[in-house]
Amino acid sequence: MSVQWPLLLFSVLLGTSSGMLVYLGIHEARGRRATASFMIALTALVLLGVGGIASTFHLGHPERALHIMGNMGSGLSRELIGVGVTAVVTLAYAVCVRMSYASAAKGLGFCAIVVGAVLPVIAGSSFMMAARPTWDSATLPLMYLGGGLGLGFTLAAAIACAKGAEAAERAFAAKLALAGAAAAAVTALIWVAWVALAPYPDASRSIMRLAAGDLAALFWIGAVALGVVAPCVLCWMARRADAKRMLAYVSGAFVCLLAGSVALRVIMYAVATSVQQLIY
Amino acid sequence: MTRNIMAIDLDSCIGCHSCAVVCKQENNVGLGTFYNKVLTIGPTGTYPDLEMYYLPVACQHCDNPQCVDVCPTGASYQREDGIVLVDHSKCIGCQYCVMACPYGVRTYDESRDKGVIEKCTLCAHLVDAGEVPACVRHCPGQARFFGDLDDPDSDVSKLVTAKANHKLTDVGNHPGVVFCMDNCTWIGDEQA
Amino acid sequence: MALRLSRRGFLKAAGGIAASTLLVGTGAAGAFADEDATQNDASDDDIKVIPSACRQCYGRCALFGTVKNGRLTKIEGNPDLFSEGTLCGRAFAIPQELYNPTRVRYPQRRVGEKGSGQWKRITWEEAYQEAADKFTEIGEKHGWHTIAHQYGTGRDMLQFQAINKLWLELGSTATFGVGNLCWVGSYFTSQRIYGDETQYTGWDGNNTDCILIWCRQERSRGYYDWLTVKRAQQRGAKVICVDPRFTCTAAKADIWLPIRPGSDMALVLAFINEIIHSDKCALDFARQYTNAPFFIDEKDESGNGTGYQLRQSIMREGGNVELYPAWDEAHGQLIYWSGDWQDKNGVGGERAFKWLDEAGNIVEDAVPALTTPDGQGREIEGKVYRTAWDLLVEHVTPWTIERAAEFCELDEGKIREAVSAYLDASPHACFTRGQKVEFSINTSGISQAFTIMIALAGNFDTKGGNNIGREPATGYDSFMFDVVPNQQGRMGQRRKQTAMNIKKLSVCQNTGYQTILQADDATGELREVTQNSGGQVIYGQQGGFGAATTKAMAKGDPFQIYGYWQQTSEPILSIEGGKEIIEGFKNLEFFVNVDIFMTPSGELADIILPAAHPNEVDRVEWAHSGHGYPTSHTYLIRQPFHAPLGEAKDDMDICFEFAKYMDVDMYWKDKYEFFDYMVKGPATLPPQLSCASFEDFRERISVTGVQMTDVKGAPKYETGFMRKTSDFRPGFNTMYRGNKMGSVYRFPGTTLPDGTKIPAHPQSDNGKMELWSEDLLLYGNGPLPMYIEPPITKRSRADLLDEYPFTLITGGRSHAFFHTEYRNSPWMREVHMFPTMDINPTTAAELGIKQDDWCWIETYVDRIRQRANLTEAISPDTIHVEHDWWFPEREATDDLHGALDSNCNVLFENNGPYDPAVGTDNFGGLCKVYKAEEGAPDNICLTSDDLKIFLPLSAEDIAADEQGDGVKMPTVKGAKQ
Repeated sequence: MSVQWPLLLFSVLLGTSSGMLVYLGIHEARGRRATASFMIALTALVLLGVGGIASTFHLGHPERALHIMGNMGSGLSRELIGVGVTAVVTLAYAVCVRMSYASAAKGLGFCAIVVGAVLPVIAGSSFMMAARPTWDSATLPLMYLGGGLGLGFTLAAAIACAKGAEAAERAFAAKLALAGAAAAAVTALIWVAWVALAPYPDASRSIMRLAAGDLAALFWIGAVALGVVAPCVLCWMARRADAKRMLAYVSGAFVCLLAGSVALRVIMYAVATSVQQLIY
Repeated sequence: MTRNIMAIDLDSCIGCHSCAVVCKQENNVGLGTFYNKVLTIGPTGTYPDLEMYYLPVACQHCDNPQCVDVCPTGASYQREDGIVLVDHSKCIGCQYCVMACPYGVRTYDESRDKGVIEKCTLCAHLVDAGEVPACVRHCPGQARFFGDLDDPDSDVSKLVTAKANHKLTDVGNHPGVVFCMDNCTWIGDEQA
Repeated sequence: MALRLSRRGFLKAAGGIAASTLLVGTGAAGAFADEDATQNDASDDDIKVIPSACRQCYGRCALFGTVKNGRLTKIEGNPDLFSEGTLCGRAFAIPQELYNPTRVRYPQRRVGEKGSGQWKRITWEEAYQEAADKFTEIGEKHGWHTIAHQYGTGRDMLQFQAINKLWLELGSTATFGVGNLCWVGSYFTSQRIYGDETQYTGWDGNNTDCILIWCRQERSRGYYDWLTVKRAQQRGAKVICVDPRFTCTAAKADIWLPIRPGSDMALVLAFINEIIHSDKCALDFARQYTNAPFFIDEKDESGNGTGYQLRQSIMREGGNVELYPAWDEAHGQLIYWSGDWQDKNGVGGERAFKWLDEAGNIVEDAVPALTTPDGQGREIEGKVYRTAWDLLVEHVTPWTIERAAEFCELDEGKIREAVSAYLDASPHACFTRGQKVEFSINTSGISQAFTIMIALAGNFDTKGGNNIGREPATGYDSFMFDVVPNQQGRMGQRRKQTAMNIKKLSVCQNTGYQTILQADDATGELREVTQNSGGQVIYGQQGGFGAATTKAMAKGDPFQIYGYWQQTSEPILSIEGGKEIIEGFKNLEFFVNVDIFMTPSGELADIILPAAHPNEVDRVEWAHSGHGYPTSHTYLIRQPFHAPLGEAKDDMDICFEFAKYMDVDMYWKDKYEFFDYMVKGPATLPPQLSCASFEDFRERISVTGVQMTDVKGAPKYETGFMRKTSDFRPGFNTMYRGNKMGSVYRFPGTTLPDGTKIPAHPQSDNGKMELWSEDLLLYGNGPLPMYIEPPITKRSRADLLDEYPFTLITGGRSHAFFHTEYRNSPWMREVHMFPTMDINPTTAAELGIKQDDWCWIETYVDRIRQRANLTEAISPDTIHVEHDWWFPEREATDDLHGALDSNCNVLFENNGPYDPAVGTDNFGGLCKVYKAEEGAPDNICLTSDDLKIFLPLSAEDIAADEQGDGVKMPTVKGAKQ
């Protein structure tokens, strides 16, 4: 299957946005609002919006989007609702932060953890289709979730860093970033393992395409080196770095994760051949 | 109850592609788009010990159509008689149904009714007028049959009873088209 | 028994359409009067559903065209005729042909260099006048034989008759030929040997227990034949397929013999040998209905003896030339077969086609001996003669299954299995062949061998066998177009003169002696022998086949051709040596091309005349090439869906009109006069098979005759009508052929139901099937079918193998095309986009060739490019390429619309040897194959999107472009700019 760039972009941005919400929510839960939380929330909202707009480029008839509620059982309908709820939560949280409604923000922070964790799962699960064995597994939404946490945590940490978070918060943010990078790495590798194990094996979706075939460069450099190794190393190094260096490390980790996520999704489409590809 | 299905006698199919072309005439299908196609399976074996058959493929009008499940708007739907159709006025062109179809028989058509999904309709307009799909009517091998599987006297039922039955790989969608063939070894994982 | 279109069938076909009138046609007067037809006229649209026939291959399927406001919008099958409502893709693409942007709609004169693609529209009058002036000038200056003419295959035989008559009357002799590269060998031979064309046609699949299909594909023409084969198989009949490739037919067959290309004769001889030595050999048939018991006056080493069948006149001075001696086992006496059925030599009348004793009395219970004592001959009046049977047995006996296995590279067991299947089912086994066997310099010989095989297995005129007599079918045969005027003494003076001086006026005059590689019967060793050709004759036309005409045009050998008239044909693609043909066309002083489309050779013409599409004209149509009952006995209407576009005209009308400019007496006033004559048939035709007129026929849509056996209650051979029937030597087309001319009612001396007696008419033969053929001897093939190794094979040219290691074959036919046609059809090209080379995956791997790689295929003559298809369907040592490829999407200046890139016929030379009787050349050879680093030829359609340039023009576009500057050819290059 060819790469569906609008959907790919959407999923990466949606993941980042979700991760940032979880980041904010965790801080709220710890009782210490994150530095630049308004800006982080706003960024999350913008990313979600941009992603949403990007996704409409995938549609032949976006003007008929109202019909989308026609089948609530469908993944896309659920995704749309998820995005809506997430946007509302994010906006509400941002407003509360701005207006300094501390208790409301704390409550919304809890909501943020929930929607931030659920949205990538919903988005990922909409691709779980029996027709495409490499997608038809919970490892796919898991990979979406892990990737989102990595992306969101590193980007949020970078913003917090840039906005002058203190050492203690930076240390916690760095730990979160490392945890996010690790989550991204582990879930990515779990999905890759699924590719190797998926039913209805075929050369077009074999693990050998990744390991040594036409996707090898993309896999080893993009998905593994940039998407798994580099972010973890950078976040590890960020733990004891000063503010300036930490900013560099976590920003670097975000960029690498971004590249890695894109690479992994390109691979995801490349190996998404259907059980029997008969006409197209 | 009426359960209209297509049954194809692969022993009779000569791979002439007439069905692919008459379909274009009947349904005004644009260049680059095919509602149906004929694949050559094989020859398998080593010359001169060979087997070969032809496999006409199109929408299988599944009992549990995945394309209908994933369609967010209800544009993809299944009629009472089993025919799976796309209501173009509702279709937003999200192509999730294309992804959900196990057989790659749906396509996003930019040539005619831009931005919607195209696929075999089993010539529902003819079926509703009491006729059979164009490919069935004109098949040079008289290999295609259309009718009610619940009626034991229908041509479809007779064929399905007379020969070994095969279906495309079922991932839970339960494909509706029955391929009947006695003379060759069915190969389960045909690829285009 | 006429098959009328039933109401049910018609209404079904018409669907829910509000039909206003059901039929139009030029000159048709509301013929199809249907009581409901004028009702339900709900819309403003003028919609007609017109029954007609397809002309897009040889099959002629029955169809309906829906015409909306004068434009064809839909094609549907007619369920009530032999095609049973089925149609292949080509039929549905008819509208794409009709409104194709490459169509020529107005007469054009070339204004640039040859091949420049620059044309200006002229009027018909200007075109005719210029052509008349130029051809007359050439005729008077250089002789009329220096004008060649040409027609394409598969148009229709009526069109062919008009073209043929026009140009024979004008004194033209040379032609590239039609069918002589793929069909005429069989046609000619079976006509000469027993008087019908039943090697393709006449197989009784409806009742058979075994079908032997020799190199024929189910889906090359008339796909409905597959329904017959399939039903036979379902009844338990065995299907045997002989083909080097694992075709669709091979895949469906019970037994497949993957024969080495070109070695067919060895296999047929082994079949005959097995049959002769089995207890199923049809000895009585051989004895009674063939010339097997005849003595042969062999030529000895010192040249004594005539080499012919013995006649009493050879045996003794003053003997009768119509008496053929044989030995009567019943009475131990010499008897004579009287061939004097015209009663010219005193042994006719009652005695014709009877065994007579020395005194001339009929011996009713004669048992003519097939063989002589020990096969060593019998002494008759001082000289020892062997019988034709003796010679045949001696010839085939060394051709064992073991030898065939070696020659054909087949498994002995498989051959035995096939022979048994055929023989076990005999006399209910039938045989049908495809055209690929014909691509051979031995096409006449192999056709004779097939005849012997069918005859001795007892399969002629049996239920489930091969029917000789297809009459009474319907009306008259198309050949009567020329026969009638000749009968009436209306043959023109120039034509007569040309016929009398044909040896000097034929382009074939130098093709007499050739060296071939023949197998010695006794040892099986190949040895060079010289073959003396009989001066190849095509359709009774003295002098013409592809290579000979090419040599005359390009090299002036034996004389220069200056003028050329070509009608819907493309020799550059379809004849060997395409580059030399281009050279020849460039030499021409004047060249008129009549075609529907712009074509490669058309670009070299001086004038192009726009031909109507086959579905824009009226015709009596019937299926060509290879079908059984009822197809073989059916005439059906082909009538226009609408008037020809622009100023295009019916090919037949063009001939009639141009004949007036040339003062040629066509005899018939116009095509309709002949159609009327044809569908009416002889007065003796059963009334239900006769139509009052063409308009009556139009109303009936079709007429289907009954089978011979049903009429006579006996096989045709028992009725005495099995014979060769031509008397217009050289040639074989002209007189009272044994099928649709109704000759069953025309036997001289026969008293008709109304009391009239059929008078004698010219026809010479002895009523016997010739197993040992005097005719083929005279034509140069020899009297018995010999194994001849094709000139370029691994066995005949071992010297080439180092460089060209693979056997190259070209006989496969794509179901998306009909020869050169449909390369400009978006739908058919979409089904089959590229010229495709079949190569075995093992071979491909060795050569580093992958699926869909463009490859060069190179012979010692030239090289072409086609795209690789890796398939086990072909042997690892063989390569198959497709024929007749060109790229209309390339410009005229771009290699004449890409006529040379992928055209397999440029891979073969045209210097002979040829089949001595019909001139068929060799279309296979040796090649090497390698990946084309350049990829595809430039400027060809590579995607479905590229094909959009060929989509039908709208009615408005057509009306807006009157082609003042020629046809605006859509090109890929143009589309990209």
